[in-house]
Amino acid sequence: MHRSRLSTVRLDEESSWNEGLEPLKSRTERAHETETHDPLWKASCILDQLSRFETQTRKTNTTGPTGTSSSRAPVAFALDQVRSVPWLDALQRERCQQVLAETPRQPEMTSMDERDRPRGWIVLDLPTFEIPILHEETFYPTPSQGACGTVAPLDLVVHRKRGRPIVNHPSLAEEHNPLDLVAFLDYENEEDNPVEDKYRTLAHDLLRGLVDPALKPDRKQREKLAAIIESPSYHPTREEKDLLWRFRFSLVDNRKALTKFLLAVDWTVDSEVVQAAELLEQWRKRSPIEVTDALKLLGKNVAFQTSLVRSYAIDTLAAAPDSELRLYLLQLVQALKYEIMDGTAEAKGSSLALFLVQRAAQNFELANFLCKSWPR
Amino acid sequence: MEVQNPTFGARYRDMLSLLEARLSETEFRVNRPVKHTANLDESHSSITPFKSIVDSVSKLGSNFRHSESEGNRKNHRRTVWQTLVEQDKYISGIMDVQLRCRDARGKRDAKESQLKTALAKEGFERTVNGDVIPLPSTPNVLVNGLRPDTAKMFKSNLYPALIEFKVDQILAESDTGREDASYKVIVKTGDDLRQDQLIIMMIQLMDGLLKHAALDMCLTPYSVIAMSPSSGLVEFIDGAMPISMVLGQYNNSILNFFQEVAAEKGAKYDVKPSVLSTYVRSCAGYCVLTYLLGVGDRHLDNILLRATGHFFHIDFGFVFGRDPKPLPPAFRLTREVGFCVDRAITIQTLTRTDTFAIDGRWHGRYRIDKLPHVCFSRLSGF
Repeated sequence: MHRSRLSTVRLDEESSWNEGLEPLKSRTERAHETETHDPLWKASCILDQLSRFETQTRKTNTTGPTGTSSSRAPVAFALDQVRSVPWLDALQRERCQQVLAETPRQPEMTSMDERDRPRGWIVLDLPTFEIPILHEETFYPTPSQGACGTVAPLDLVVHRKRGRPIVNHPSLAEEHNPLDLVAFLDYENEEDNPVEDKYRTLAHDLLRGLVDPALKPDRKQREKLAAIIESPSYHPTREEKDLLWRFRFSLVDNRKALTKFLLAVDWTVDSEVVQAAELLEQWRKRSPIEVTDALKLLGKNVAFQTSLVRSYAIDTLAAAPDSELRLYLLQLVQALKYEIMDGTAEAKGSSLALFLVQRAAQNFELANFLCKSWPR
Repeated sequence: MEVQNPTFGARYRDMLSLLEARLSETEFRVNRPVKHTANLDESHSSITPFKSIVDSVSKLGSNFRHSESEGNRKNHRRTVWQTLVEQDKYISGIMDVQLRCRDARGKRDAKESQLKTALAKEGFERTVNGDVIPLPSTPNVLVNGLRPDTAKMFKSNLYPALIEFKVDQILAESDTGREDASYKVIVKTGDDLRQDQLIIMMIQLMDGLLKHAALDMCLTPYSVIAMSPSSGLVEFIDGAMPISMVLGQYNNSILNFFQEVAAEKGAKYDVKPSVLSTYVRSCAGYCVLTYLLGVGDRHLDNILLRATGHFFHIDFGFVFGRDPKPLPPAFRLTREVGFCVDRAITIQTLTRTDTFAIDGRWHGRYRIDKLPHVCFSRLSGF
């Protein structure tokens, strides 16, 4: 059974909702302290709680079997620890309604100035857990400027046309119009759905088990594949991944397809990794990738975190002349972060590091720039 | 920055020790390059295939590898690592002096004279043992000291210093084909030059791509290097003037400037055609470039012009669409081009600029997929 913490919170201007549970709790407590002297507030609080008791008991009566209802009835309210006592509830309700009827409402309303006009009420049912739950939240940077999150001139024009104010931040939104929608950046937008992931793991052979080197895409599929390969996005959808995987044998002649193909490989499935290795070998022979693609393969994407892919990328880099390599040194030094370091292999030095060091030893110019671009 | 991260920090330290060990085994050798007098003209010609540049620079690399140590004037040998350590000591010493003089009391002149005396007194005039030191920003320039008397300080709140190094030799013919005995570098402290360095790298990359497409846009990717997150060296381009100064001195017209410095009677607008062509090309090149990189904070003080017609941007503190002011124009420089190029030139030249601009973009396109990789792999790192 789901336990719930019940609290009634009065909305103020200062209460900020984006700061998590803690500030909210303290606010509720404060609200209770300050409002206890206000009979109106107190009475309505109690009434609210009573009505909740009522629905609670009604629910247990209708749903639960009669024998067990008594054992399930006591619901602990974490905040107040008040329990329903039927005979007292009735008395309390009567008294509260009396208070509400007696308290002069009118003068209070008139005394309110424009800023203090009746505010909204919000009732929150926050789940409580018997076992403490440690929740680690990822902290994302607050977008202040830059490509994502900033208000670009184009946005301004669009918003003006729609006649909407631009709101980037929840606190700003309140000032404009509290009812307006708030646009914010969803950092987890491109994450996968874990439920679907599980399904796909279970149904893997059915979905992707097909091995047919002669399979050729038809015209529509070819167009789709071309669009995926050309697209600047490195987050192909599931359908796109499946499509790439399905026609993997026909992609071998396209050097641009390699990076996208590697994203489509499911590196947790052994049979796919084996096939990917074979295909990579074919790619190497038939259409070697360019240096810039190799840079991409050294990035932090999970698909590129395999020694297979990285050694292939380093082989490609090895063919580049020093002058070209020099231009990518900054990037390569950053890519060292995403090297696989499993302790045992190549004591301390990853293959990319070894490669860079070796090239630096041959050319002083590279050595100079490599040392200068080392993070300090 | 990454060093503070426990995982990456340890990793980078390990790799650095690996690098140190390897470079300490390698001997630093320099030999005098063969004079390529014939090649000098080639670098001036408008179309330089990318391949040839690659070749020339890799030749420079091979100099280090297979050279007999004929150029080693002193008998004592240094490893590459020792050279790098010496270079770091020398340059950071100069930076220290600059920093001290910057914080010294008095106006710019007082600071400048203090800088001159400090540089002379503390023995920066000659390097230790007279060993040649490759400049960090341009390792093909080997210096053996500096000229304290020509040191300058710029009037800006960070007071960057202009240092003139005495050149021992320049390896491989540089693009400008200069044979100077000195090489000017701006020493800057208190400013993060890493972004500038990245952007210059990207300009070099694009320049290479454009040249590969047989399109020389006469770009000026001056060398920048960040020595630390808050200091660095910037190459000083001799004879370059901010557009604002040009306009101020030449009656608000760039045409007047060119007619003065590159006059040729009878030619179009009485300006040498080669200079005009360079100007138009570099204008177009930077137009596309700044657009693609979203360079912000553009004003006439950080766009420079040389008498050779080279037009170039400096100071890339705001890029990828950032700008200190709200609502920057989407396609930058159109205003400046229209403003700088006087009405007399406009129609024809501007249409040519446009053609070049579109051309540049067109040729950029089929390699344009290179840029995001480079860009984002760096951004994710920063």
